Amino acid sequence: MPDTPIVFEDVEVLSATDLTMRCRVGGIVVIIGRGQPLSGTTIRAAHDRGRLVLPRWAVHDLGLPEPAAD
Amino acid sequence: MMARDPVRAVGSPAVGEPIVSPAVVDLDALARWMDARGLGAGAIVGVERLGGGTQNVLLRFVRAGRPYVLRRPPEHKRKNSDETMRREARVLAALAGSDVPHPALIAAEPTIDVIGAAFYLMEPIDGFHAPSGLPEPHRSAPALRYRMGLAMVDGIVALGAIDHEAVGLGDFGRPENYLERQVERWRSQLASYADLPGYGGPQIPGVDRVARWLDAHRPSRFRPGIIHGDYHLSNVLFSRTGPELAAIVDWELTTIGDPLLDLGWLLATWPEPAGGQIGGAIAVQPWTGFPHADELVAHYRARSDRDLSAIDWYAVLACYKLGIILEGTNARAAAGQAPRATGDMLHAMTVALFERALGLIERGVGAR
Repeated sequence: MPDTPIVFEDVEVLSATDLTMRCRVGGIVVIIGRGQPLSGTTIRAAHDRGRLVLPRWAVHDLGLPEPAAD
Repeated sequence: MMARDPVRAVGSPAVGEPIVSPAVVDLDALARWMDARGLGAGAIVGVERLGGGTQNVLLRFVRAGRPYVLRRPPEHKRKNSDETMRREARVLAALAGSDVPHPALIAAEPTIDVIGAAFYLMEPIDGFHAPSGLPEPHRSAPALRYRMGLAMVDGIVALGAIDHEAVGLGDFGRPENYLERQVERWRSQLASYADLPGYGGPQIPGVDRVARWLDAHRPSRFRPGIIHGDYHLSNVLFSRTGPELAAIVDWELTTIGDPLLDLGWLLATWPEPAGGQIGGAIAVQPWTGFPHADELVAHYRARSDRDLSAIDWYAVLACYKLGIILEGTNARAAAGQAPRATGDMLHAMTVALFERALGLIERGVGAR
């Protein structure tokens, strides 16, 4: 399901299981399935902090505001 | 939902503490009721509370040397609790003499006159609950575990093969437009959560995509039959000596529908790839040896004349339905009606189920 990737920086992984990650994206806490992050994502385990890349449809379904373009 | 309600003991009460409150089961009233049905005589002894994931009450006891298990709704009943007991008893009666492993029904009381709730008595099952831990020889034998997985399929093949009208269940459900109703039914359920204060919305990646795919790919026809409705590893007991099912338990969601949904439910909750939890805290260790999902499908296909060409659709529907059911607890948690930690855990399972659904849509059941 190809889609436009959306990049979030400074995302914190609050907790993680084999199937999901609970992340703080901006001020919003969401749970993301392991299969959703796209190439370029640098976070994986609890307490990681870094970049999260998601397809646009997942960003929409999670209710996340898209980051402002530079 | 996702109930673990097999017949197993959960421990003893403290000394001096009654094992069961008379408000839950009045043992004197029960004894009189059993007297009238010729079910032993004398005192009810050895009363033991059995556990599981649901709130229904299970009591094991002995009378005149014969063991019984009583099942009744929780002390604080829900609106449909008594009717659920009546339906369960009716199904168990209908399964008598069939190839479906099940607890044999001994007697049922449809009214609330005896103990304040409808209830029934069944035969105890000598078996084990795999997610609670595998005993020997199962623990040390991967080949045995492989056959355990196939035995789960055998259970629903046998159930789906029953002529529900011939066993008196012709009016037990509404198979008309069963598949057509499913997606809208559960979409409405999800939408209803918005009425709960504090619930900001589902935040489930893929929820609309999955619904659209289900609508677009719905099988055009099916052959009605009995469905268990919540068929997974936590709702069966296995033989202690072999791979066979000792019993399928927790029949509270049974209806007449498309039996392939039970296979879809099994696939949706199958703890792949490594025995991990999905769909409701189902995990079995060691997992090595259990068959892969596509082997479950192949086993079903070899033993049934049902058309499995759309089995992906049933598995996706099961993910969709179960995910929305679990999300309900998350919504209630947001409204302060359930523990927050439970809501978070079940929301994570919902997300994982929808991810599984998206994977099934892309790659199908056979993907490894």
